[in-house]
Amino acid sequence: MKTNKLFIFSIATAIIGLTTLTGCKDEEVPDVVNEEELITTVSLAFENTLTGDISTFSFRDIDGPGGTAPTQFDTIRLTADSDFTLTTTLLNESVSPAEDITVEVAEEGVDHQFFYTVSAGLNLTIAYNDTDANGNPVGIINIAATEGASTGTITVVLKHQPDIKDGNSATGDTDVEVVFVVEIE
Amino acid sequence: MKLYSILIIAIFNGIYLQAQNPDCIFSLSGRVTDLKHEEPLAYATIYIKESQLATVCDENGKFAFNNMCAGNFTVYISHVGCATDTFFVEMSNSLFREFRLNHQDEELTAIVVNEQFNSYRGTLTVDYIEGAALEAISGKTLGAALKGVTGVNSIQTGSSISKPVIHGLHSNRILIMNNGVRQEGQQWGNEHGPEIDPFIANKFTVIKGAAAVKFGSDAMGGVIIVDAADMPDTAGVSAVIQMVGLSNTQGGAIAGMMQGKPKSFNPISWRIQGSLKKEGFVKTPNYYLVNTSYNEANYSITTAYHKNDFTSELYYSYFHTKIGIFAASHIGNLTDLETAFASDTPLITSGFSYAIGRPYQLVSHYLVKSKSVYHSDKLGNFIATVAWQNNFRSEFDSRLPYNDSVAALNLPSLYFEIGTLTAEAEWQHHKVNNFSGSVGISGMNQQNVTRYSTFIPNFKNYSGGVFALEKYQLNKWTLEAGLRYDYRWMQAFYYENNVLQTTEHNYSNLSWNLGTTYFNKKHTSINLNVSSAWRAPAISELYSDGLHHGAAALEYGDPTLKTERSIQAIFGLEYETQKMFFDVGIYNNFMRNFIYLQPSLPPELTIRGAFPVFYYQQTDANIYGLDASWHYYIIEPMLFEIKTSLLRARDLINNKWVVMMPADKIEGELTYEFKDFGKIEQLNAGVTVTHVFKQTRTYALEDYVEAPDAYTLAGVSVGSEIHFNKTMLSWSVEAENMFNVAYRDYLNRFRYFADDMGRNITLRIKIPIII
Repeated sequence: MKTNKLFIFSIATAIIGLTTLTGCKDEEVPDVVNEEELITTVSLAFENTLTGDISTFSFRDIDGPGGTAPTQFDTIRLTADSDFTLTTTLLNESVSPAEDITVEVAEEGVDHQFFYTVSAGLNLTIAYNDTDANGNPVGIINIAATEGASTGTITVVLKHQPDIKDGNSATGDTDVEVVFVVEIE
Repeated sequence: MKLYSILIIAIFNGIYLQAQNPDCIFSLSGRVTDLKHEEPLAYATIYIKESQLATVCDENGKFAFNNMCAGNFTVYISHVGCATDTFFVEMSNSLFREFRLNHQDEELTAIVVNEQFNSYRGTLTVDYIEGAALEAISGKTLGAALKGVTGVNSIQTGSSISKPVIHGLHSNRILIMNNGVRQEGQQWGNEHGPEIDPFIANKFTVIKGAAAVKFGSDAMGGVIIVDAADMPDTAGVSAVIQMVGLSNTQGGAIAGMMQGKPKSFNPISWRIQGSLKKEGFVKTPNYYLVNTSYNEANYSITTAYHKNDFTSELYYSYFHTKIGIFAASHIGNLTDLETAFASDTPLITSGFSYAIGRPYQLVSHYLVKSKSVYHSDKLGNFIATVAWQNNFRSEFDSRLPYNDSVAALNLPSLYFEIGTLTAEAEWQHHKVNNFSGSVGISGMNQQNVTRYSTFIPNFKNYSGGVFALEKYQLNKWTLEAGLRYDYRWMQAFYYENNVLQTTEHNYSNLSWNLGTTYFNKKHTSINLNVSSAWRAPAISELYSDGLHHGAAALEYGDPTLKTERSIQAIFGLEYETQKMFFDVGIYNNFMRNFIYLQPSLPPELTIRGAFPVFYYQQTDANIYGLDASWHYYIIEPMLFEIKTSLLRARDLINNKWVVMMPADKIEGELTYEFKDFGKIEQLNAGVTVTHVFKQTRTYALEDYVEAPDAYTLAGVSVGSEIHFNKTMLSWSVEAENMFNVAYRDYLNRFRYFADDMGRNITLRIKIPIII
């Protein structure tokens, strides 16, 4: 009787062992990179209000943060003593066709704001020229003006500030932060 | 341990004397033995509910009650190292009965204190939290609950996520045994707390140091064993309700357990258990931490079949939690991080709320376990365990996708699903010529699926191990030796430039253990253990690739990492007299190929700004330290206790300190036990002072901000038991951080952004019900 029980016990153990080794469902192949929505490209388009000439400067990192290094990082070159309309565009170029994220930012304007910080000594001023549903600036369309020749940087920051948007650049999540080198000549 | 018994005798003595009745003439005598080994259990405590009589067995497990009346009686027997068992006795004559206490957990018999002062626990360094000590920490997370044990700390992400740290090691370097099954989730993440409901536990066992031979690879720093109570073995139904209320988070927990055994079908017993927890925003002395609320809901069902030599148990548990992550700690990039650090108070503050918004974590854990034990008088015990567990983890970033239709789906930013099947068979042979021991085999099959992110790849892994452990006991000496072989095969799947990559890894290694214990029955016990353990690199260490959400860091794994191996020695000494108890543990843990995150300069430029970069690398490390405690009865009911934990960790190759190690700690406690009066028993009050030193073994360039200053916290507590309507209700009130000190702890990630929890007053009530 007892040996019989022991026998059953051994058989049960063997079955358990086999189950473990042969495994269960095979769901090992991952989904095709189901990456979160990426912003791969930031473009600043400066339209000379006098001549109508448009110069576009971009930062482009197709695979997002990490991985391969950014593929394009332009130096912004502007003519001195000019007025511009500055339009900022965000793209997701990791998908085809490229997705224009700026449209979404505009739609959710009450939760977003671009901040442009010009380094000291650079003769460039940037002023907001658009508003969200609450009448606060978003910063997609702006007015820019240059004076004498100088060099410096401009930091472009997009903040996501749901329910806390009050013009303070310190709060919220940073979705974009790019520092462009600027040469005014 | 003996002190504990003495205390119980002292407490029960009063009742014993007053309860004698001249009309009652019978006697109940007997012997208490261990069910499996049938050896007498010395100093077990016996309490008869109806007549309120209590006594303690002698050295041979014998006891006697005189002057008993006729009738039906409920007998509670408890013994250090076992759960309290309930028996029913019908008295119409004087009786002699043998009571067998059931050690349900075979894994533990090798290490648990049995019979006499620690002679059975093997040669490891072990701590237990059970009984009153366990009640005193109810409602806390597993990590926080174990902090009172010397040498144990917790690595925290606020107060709702805390992971235990044993001798400086955590996550994949320690093993958590949840009801006899190794807990498998996403242990690699510092912000991934163990998915276990502490209310399930009847006892926590902490093994300090490697116990890999018995428990398998990964048990390098130590093992935490969470055990439920033994299943009831006499007919009847009983229940326990526990309630915990917390002032700081304006939250609390309620837990219930009901168990029974039908009279009609005797071999079956059952238990259902569950708990609910809800806590709001944590309050520091000066402000609330926005979005630190959390909810938890857990339950478990156990059924057991026990007849003659065969016991089988089926266990199911479900754990579910939603944890809000402190809004100001979820950081977009390095600039945000620096802005946050520069500010003394968090950038986002608000009033109190229970709301949980983004960012938050949603975690579920399912476990099904079947365990069978066959006891053969000739050969010993045969144990087979099979368990399936499934862990679902979703992490929701604070940032929603720009695309409205995608945002409307409310998908997590990170999602992991890991399923693990474990099986184990073990034979524990009977004691033959002073030899006792066991041999076993175990296997594991695991599959992981990651979605919405490529931070870690999908993988599957198979592992197996065989082990043998033998113990030789001669007089006051015990010698122990163990050997284990493990094999692990892993396949990972990930995309590189949209091309599927498949890689395979093989790891195999030996673990061993040699130990000895000298035990002098009266005063002294010495143990020395030398062991070697290993672990395969964790998936995150091999394959992390990119942005670690919320941590504002780019982390890169290395698929060529080798296995980590530890060789460690632990020496323990315990000494006790009538008035005092002293123990000290000294350890040295040499770790070859110790895996760590090495910061790398310069920060990497991304469209979201600059991010610090970290690479997983290996070095040789040495961790050494000391744990000590001293208990002293100043006068009989007044106990003074002082304990300390010191630890140092060196990177031997780069000749520097290993960072993220616990700071030195010293803790003092004074408790006073009052005399029983009326229906109130075990009334006690205590004062605790904890001082944590500043962690100075850090490097300014390798951390965002300097380690926080030293801090001192004070606490008070008071509690008792009350006889109430045939049951023994227990309650306690505890105040932590009594003086509302603003402090930050080195191992709490929130230290970068905010102060730790302010004053917290906890009320705990436990009501047992016998139906």
